[in-house]
Amino acid sequence: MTSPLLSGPQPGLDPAEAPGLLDRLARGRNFRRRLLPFLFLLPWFVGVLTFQAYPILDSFYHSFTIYDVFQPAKWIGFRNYVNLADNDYTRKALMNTLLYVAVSVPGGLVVGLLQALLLNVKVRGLPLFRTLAIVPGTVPVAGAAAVFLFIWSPNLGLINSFLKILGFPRGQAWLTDPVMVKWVFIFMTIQGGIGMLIFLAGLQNVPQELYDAAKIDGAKSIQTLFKVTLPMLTPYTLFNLLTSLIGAFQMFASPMLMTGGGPAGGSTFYGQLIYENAFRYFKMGHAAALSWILFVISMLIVFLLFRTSASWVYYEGGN
Amino acid sequence: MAGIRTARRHIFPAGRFILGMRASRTIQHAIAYLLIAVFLFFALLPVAWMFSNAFKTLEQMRITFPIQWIPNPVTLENFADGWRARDWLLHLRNTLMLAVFVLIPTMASCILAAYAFARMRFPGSELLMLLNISFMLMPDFVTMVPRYVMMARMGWVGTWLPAIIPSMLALNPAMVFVLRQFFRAIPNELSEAARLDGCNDLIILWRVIIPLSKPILALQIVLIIAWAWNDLLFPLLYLKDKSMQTLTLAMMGFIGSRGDTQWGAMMAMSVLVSLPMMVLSYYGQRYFTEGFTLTGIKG
Repeated sequence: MTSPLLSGPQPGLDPAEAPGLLDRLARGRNFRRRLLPFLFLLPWFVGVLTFQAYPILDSFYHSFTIYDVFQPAKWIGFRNYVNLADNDYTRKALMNTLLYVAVSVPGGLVVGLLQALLLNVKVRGLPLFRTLAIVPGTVPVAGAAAVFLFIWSPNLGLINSFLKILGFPRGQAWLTDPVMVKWVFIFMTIQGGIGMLIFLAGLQNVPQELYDAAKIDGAKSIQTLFKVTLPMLTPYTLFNLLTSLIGAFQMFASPMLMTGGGPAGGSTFYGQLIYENAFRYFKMGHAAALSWILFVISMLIVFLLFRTSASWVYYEGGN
Repeated sequence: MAGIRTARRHIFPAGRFILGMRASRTIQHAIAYLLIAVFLFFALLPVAWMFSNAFKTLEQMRITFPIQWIPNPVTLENFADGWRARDWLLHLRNTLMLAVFVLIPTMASCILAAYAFARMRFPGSELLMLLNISFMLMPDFVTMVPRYVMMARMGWVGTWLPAIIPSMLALNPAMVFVLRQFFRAIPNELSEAARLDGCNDLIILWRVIIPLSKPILALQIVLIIAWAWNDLLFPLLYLKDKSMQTLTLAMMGFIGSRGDTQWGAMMAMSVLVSLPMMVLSYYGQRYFTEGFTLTGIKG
């Protein structure tokens, strides 16, 4: 009945030591009950140890070495971290990423919120508008990349054709200009998307009584927005802020598909930086150092947001 | 409060037609319609552009005003052209294989872990959940390189094992978290009743928890299929061989190999790659709202 794993060498379970049959059964069941959660969690534990904890520790060690996979790693102290700060290519990608985080995250948050508020106004045809608003977010990245490549293209592109009509016949080289290209990506990703959906879900959860009470107190719409709606949305804002901040460091597929990170590293972001260091130049030490910096940054963001959340996130029921 | 107001509205319908109120309401709605129209125009422009240009010849793509959304005549040459360039059915098969290989083991292992976190008491459960949340918020790039080196050492690169094995180990912290939140919200009485009838945890999970969690499980299925359809990093690392490439990777090669004159074929293939996901998301969105509202994000 009991598997050997469950009734391992546990002294209390040894039949010779157990005082009585009933007692022994009770103990056995108790023991099994205590072990069962860990059995359910066994795959999770193995996963955490092998594919999460080990890689993090491994990166930490290798970030202090020169390592190209083929030869054993050589300890060089902090040189990788110093080299990263010195390298032009790396610095450019870091600046691109910081700019992206600083502009695209707040921008996306505000746009998502505005879209959600707009799609929460009770007008006729609202279900249709909501469905239509979700459509752009459902286009897979490969499709979207091709379309935006076309839209921003120099000759037949929609943007440049529009500029021509406005009286700028020469247009602008968007994706082939090393300075302009990162702005194209930043601009492209400022859209509501899934953040809008989450805000919309949050808006449905604001109790109607609060709006009624505000109305009776004679609050204007703008006051209601700032005193009722936005505070009630703060848990959703926190969630969106966390996911979009972390997501900003994951930005990878669209530049890879559209420009390959070019020209001259103009659209290389953090993820691609790690990828290229590891798999193109086999600078595993650099890649490890970058991975570790990313690890520290992401944990710092999570820690700070959770720490400060008590002061600006409102949980209904004082949770 | 709301009840009283609606009642009043029905008893004194004239109250709705107080002139000033009505006028301001109309103006507000007009502004809302205008803003929604502007927003939807810009949001849908790229999608409409993709569909429109997939059916245009290169000559028709030159922009004239007013923009000709429905080309005349319509050409299907782009689709034929794009279809011939690659073995798209093979890439579709690979994408679906990736989805299935990840989906089944992930669901099994994550459901078990989430059940333990949600429904069982054990020392350190809070702390381990916190650990899970930290991994959920950690970018994939942090562990990417050492994972790859590990899998390469074991000779798994170029096989489907990098998709299957980590999936068996509940390496989807977001799914563990979301399922745990959902499982926790299921009333305890149901599982306690089953326990009194002599059911053990596995049977409770199978007979009580899973049937009640259909919306959230459906959402997870949609999300994993969408991941397999969208992800670039995983195929780029582990499915590089032409016979294993997924649609995203194939599109990357296709886009890269096209010059400035092949926009038609590119738009046509974008339409074909996008349509299944658009349909899936249309059906998946209701699970999204349902799952999200019910689960809550308040921890």
